[in-house]
Amino acid sequence: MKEPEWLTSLRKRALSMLDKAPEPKYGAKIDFALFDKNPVVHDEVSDISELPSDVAKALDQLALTKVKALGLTVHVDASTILKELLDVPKGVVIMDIEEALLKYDELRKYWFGVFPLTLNKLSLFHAAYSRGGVFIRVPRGMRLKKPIQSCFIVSSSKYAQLPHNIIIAEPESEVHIITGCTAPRAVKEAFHAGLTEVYIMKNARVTLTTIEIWPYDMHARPLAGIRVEEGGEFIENYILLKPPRTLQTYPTAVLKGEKSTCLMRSILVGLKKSNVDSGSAVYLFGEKSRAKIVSRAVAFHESRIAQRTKIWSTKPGTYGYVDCRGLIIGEKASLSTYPALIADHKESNLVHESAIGRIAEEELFYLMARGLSEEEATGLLIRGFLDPGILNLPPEITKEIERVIQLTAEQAL
Amino acid sequence: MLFSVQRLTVAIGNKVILSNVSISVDRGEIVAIMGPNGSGKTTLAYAIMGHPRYRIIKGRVILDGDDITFLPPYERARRGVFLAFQHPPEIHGVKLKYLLDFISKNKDYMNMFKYLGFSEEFLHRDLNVGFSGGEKKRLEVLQMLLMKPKIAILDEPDSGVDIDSIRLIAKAIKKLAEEKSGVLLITHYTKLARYLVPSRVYVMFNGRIVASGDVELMNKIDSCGYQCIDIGKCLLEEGC
Repeated sequence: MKEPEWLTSLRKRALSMLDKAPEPKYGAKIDFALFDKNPVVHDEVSDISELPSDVAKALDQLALTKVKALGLTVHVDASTILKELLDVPKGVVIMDIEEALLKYDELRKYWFGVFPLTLNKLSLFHAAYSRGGVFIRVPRGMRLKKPIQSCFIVSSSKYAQLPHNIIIAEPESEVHIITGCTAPRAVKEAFHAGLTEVYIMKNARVTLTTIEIWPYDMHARPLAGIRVEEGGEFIENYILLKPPRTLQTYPTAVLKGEKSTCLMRSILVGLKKSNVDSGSAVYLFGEKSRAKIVSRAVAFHESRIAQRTKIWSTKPGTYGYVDCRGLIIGEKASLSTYPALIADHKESNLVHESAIGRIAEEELFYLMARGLSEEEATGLLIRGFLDPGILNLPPEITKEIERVIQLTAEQAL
Repeated sequence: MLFSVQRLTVAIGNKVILSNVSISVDRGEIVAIMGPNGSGKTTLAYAIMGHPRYRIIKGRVILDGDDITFLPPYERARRGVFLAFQHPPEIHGVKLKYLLDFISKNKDYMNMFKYLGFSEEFLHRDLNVGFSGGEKKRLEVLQMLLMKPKIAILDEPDSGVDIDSIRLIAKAIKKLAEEKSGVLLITHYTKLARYLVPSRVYVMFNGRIVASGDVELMNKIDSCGYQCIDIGKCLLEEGC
């Protein structure tokens, strides 16, 4: 594979530091070296109807095919196999990242431009071996009303899928990117660690929605770093509908600009013996920057979920709010929340609320008194607790998410 | 008889709350249960509906000749028992529309919805969240009308409610009784019962039925309160 020289030397550098780097601080310990890093490549198809059947099925499962989007890219293992750019306006770039790296030299500025390269073994592992990904750039002043979608599918057992995505929203632009991540059931012992870096320029607005449905026999470490300039806005919706055996994620948004804002929401479902460690962090480094983090988790079976939230403020007039709630359903399930508020300026106002509990008996009885069975009532209450309706997603997707949540809840009981 | 509770004794944990309670309601009949706060009226309503925390120690609940004493709440609901809650819970994330669609089995309910004073905007609100007292009670009554129960138990549908709501609620209950449902009206005021005129009145005290009679009994409660029931004989005499 051809790539720019600077990237090859960056990979070498990352590799040389890998051994001495610290393990990731959070999440279950796994040995990355065990996964296959040699890229598995697939042929491109020209049309959505030509997708292999398991890939088409995965797309369907994520409800991505039901939404009217401007464009759709499909990535299987290391390859971008489909690019359907139906209604993409001129000036918007949606491109395979490897192609983009050759075409746009300025991407080196954005490659680990916000996500710290030397954070730990995982970031270095990613830097050394990443393949594939998508580059999206929305030009100045263009406010896209329909979403752009991309779908990442792991289709090889023991394989480490390591796409690197870069999203740039130029000043006054707006975009909603919906990403689905999944793998066909038959995949065993695979690994996904996509890294997404988002750059939001002055007064631009990016919504990033990620929906994940993983088979159980997998490990996922989605990585994300976001930088927001003056007056910019970042909205994240992270929806984990089916967890793999272990998952750890900690998207971190740096609100550099004055009056920049950020809203991070997550919906987490723990099943079987999955170990889910999901955090969100926002750094309020711009004056009057504001952040809100909302997290909802439901732990079924024997799953363990950790909800980490962090807001750090260093500037005056900043405001941060954390709303973190968990529901324990499984007899042997476990939930923990770790909220952190750090104020390094006296004119910071940071608040957090968190609660962990079980389903309220009175609510369950009320719904049963209206004729819902115990399973139906519990499913409805869990769906209501996770309330995907607040995410402002396209209705087709909301409906599908609600359907999956209710089904999962009813099956799990 | 459409519905009867026969010598029902109910406990929460090991504490007996109701002792030997017997009541009956026939088709199209409105029966009132009165009594001061804490006398066991809500416990009776919950026990009839099958709340899992209320343990039936003795006695039976019979609907249409079938013993429903140990059925789960949803099974009772499906067979035609309805409970309008005194304090309906606020349920976040569950839209009113979802519940109404479910219980009306997708039949059109908008006329009734509007008749009970709701605007369309309510459909997309979370169930009871931020509703006023009157709105909550009217919503209970709406659900009652939609479910067309054989027996409706209304637990203080008149508490914390403005006068216009009371009129609407009374009308709805009357309509249900006219359609031959039985109505068991739990209240500790006599105001609502004035609109509805029950054919029989039970008085509950300390978990027991201590008196029963016709509307006259209500008048006595009106003039001397529940105090005299405590003494145990006053109600049986003229004047207090």
